[in-house]
Amino acid sequence: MTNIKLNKKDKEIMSLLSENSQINIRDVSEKLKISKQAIFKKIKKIDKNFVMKYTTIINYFTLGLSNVFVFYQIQGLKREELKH
Amino acid sequence: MGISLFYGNQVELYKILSNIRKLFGKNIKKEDLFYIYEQTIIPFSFDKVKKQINIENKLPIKISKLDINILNKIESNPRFETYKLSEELKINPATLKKHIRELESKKIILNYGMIVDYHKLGFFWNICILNNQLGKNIDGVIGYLLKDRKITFVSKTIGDAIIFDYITESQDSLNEFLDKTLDNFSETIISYKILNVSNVKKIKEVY
Repeated sequence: MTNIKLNKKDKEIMSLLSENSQINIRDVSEKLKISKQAIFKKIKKIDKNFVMKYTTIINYFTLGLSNVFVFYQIQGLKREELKH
Repeated sequence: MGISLFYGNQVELYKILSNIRKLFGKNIKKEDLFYIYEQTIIPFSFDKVKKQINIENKLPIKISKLDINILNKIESNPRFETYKLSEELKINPATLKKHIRELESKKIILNYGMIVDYHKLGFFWNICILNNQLGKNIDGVIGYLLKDRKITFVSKTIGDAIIFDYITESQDSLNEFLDKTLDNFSETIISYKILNVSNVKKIKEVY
């Protein structure tokens, strides 16, 4: 957990980004009634500290792909070794 | 350990699985496969759930090489700048916009979102698997799960298992939620399994 705190506006921006990462800064600025510069700063803070990655959600079925979740029960390896 | 794999055909899938088995050798004690049939993604929100994105099981749609290149570029960069991306792809910005609009209207591109680093927010991220009675209607369970704002995806699998995640401030609230779910659907759910997510690594996604 990071020490950086999120205030109400940060949380609102984060929820909006999660719903649509292509959000228009001007629209958010009007909606939340804060300046565009402040929004930029807040997005930068969110990006740096709380975003694992941005992603485009694609319907992989339409590309002829399938998805399988595989769960492994692994013994004799440390957590760090699994990361690689 | 849990891995989400995308594959084109069974031969490809078995090759990937066999490579994983070689990598971990005898350390693998058990391997369970869950083939995803349908999936709903609910963008994370501090407020209430507003949007649901359904990845429906559809027949493949033929798309051009350029469309595939566009998808590969934007998959991990949904906040692209049209001008820069069109230069990279050596096409003009209007053509890029047109292709993206078409991919959206064909419902190949469903949304532009992000994966939140839940641990840094102080949350626990869990993946849960519900094993259900074969042949039982599981839509009621799925509908129930989709109402909870601590869940950001629900997957229906071939064989009627349900996989979903649960983001919570304490593991106790996950246990409470699962107890309640099991009580409500005692005739459908046979058992459950929980996987605590400690690290996420994305290897490759090329279409």
